[in-house]
Amino acid sequence: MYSPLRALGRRQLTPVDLLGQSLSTIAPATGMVFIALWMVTHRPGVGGLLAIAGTTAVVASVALCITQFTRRLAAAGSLYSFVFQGLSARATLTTGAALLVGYLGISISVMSQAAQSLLRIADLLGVHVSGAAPWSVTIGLVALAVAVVTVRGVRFATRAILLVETCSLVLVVALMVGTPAGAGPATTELPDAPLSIMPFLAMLTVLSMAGFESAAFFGPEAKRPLVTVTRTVLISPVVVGVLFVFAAWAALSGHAAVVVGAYFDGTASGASVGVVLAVQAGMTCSWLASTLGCAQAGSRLLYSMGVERVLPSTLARVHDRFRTPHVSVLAFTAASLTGACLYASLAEADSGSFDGVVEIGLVVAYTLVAVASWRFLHRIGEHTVVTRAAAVFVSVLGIGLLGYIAVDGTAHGVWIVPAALAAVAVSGTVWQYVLRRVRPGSLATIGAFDSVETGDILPGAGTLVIGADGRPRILPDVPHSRDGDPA
Amino acid sequence: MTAHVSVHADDSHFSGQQPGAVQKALGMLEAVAQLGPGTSAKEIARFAGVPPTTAYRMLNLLVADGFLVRVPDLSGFALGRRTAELARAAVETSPSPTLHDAVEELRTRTRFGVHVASFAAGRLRFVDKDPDHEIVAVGALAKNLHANALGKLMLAHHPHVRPDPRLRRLTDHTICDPGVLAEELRAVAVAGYAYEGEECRIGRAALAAPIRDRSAFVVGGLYLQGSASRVTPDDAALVRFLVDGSARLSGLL
Repeated sequence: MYSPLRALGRRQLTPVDLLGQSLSTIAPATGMVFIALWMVTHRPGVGGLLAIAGTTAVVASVALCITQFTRRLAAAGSLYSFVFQGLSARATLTTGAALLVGYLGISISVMSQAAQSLLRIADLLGVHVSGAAPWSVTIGLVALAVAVVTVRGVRFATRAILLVETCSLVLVVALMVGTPAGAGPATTELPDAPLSIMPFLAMLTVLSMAGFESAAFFGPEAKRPLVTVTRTVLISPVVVGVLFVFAAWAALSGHAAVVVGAYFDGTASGASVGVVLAVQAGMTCSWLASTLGCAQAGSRLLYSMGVERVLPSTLARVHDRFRTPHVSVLAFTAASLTGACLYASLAEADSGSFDGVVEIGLVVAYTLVAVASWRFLHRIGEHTVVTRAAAVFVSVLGIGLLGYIAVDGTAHGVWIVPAALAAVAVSGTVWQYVLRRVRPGSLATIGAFDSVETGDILPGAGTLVIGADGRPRILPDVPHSRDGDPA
Repeated sequence: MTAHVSVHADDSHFSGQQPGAVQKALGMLEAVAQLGPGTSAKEIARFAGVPPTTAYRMLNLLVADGFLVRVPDLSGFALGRRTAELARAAVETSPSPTLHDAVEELRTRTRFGVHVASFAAGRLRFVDKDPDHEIVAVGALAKNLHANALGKLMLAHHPHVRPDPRLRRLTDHTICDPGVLAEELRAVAVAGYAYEGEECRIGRAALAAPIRDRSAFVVGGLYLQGSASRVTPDDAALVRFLVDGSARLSGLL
């Protein structure tokens, strides 16, 4: 008897690869620049810095809840598969929908940003193109490159993005350190924040950290996943939080003026062409890395759903040579491409509400995984004081935050935010209803993870069988009767 | 990092300052063996007398390293495949008692020294030495496969094992010509035993016969060493004794 996720290229990713995947999905360099921008223009002072640090602490406790699962199982569906271990199939499907909204949303946003900054570089180099059509063409090229790299192989992709992301990080940090303190503020015009500035900064931090748990999608493909994935999930938000606090401090003390000016105003900010080009190139790399990271993570989520037949099982096809779920990669990239083109032509003016929807998806997923961690540890009887505290803290905060975002969105007349919350909330129920009508068998296979195989068990210590409910279980061997060899 | 990396290689709290940790970990493995598959973490902690928080952390590490597995619904544990490697290591360091018994019985029937060597992993290694007879030039045997009966036996039956290309001259009788050695090895394979006449040490001779496993693959050799005047391939009774004896060890090594 074998693990349902056996088809993936297993046991290849090293801890460095996992960190690369995680860091690239977060794309800390871009997050740093945006945080610096808001800190410079809205001047929230030290309070803003504390808001970012506090949010980092909250995200770290979400990470703690998630690692309760990564310590115990490796699953290609990440949070989606984890929630099933603690909650019902309906909650699992809700998490799946929320994660899809979150990852697809980030992917759409970073893909169009990548294309936009590529066009800016072209502009700097003297190729003047503007309008929606060239933007869409560039988005198409980015999508193609991402799809090829992601199908080509998980290791190749993670190595490539770690290198890319490190270069842009070094560049941004060096520029911030190199800029003298007290430089003049940027003159960028900003779209109005849909929320008040403090909650907005917190939301920006959460959005910029989105994907810190993306290493969890690669459990089945990592070496010693229960140790390495756990460590990556715990380390990522802390590292990125430190970088964000550094960026906020740099913005407060005027160190960030050059980077922010060069990225948002180009040569008009007074920066030299070389600096502007370097910043644009670094940010472009970071956006591209983030697009890659999202495509990798999102494709594993679709793959997992395909294996369980919750989505069409074509998505579970794995490339013969590269051992990557190529159909899922293509599906996810195509969806991002479509979304990014729409985003480029329609939603650009209203990126605030788009971010709000993505935020809803992420917070729903994080809240559900915290609740699930409570139920899961209770079921297997492995609760400790720390895990109880983290689960309660994150669940309560998540529910409160969702309520706040919905009320705040309504108050500001951004109806799409509460509407998105309602849609995500009922998605699980609707999905389950559809599955019950179309493919009732899939509800029995939901929650697939890299479960124990016959070959993993010491011969004679137990036999793996399929129970009456269609799920595997281990039966004790009757002593001295090893002839009935396990399947 | 491979699956075989030591559990000490990370911040896994199994440090030298906590010798009790190893004891606890082994106690928990024993608890799973005793209580059977599906035992929960709480039961294991109680059985092994380990505080629950420590037990949960250690159990997760034991699972991560493959010594334990979690049952499919994740609520309990079973022994993992890797515990078998511990047991196999224990077996490899000492030959099975039946092999020793059989060789001891052979030793009572001859006045020469009788030793058992294993050819596992392409290395010549003694696994059962005659307690009453020292092996002469024991250090030179594994290094000079061309110059002793056991080595020639191994070279004849394991063509992928190559002798040291220099074919060092140990005595005047040592075979140093590759062509002559190849001829000799062919003869060994045909005859079913190997002879060493003062090739390793003047005044010493030896005979060796192959020990086979259950599938008739040569996995070792039975080595009989004595003075050059007494141990000769012309002594048919002695050769038969050795070949019969090695046949009796089939499947025991």
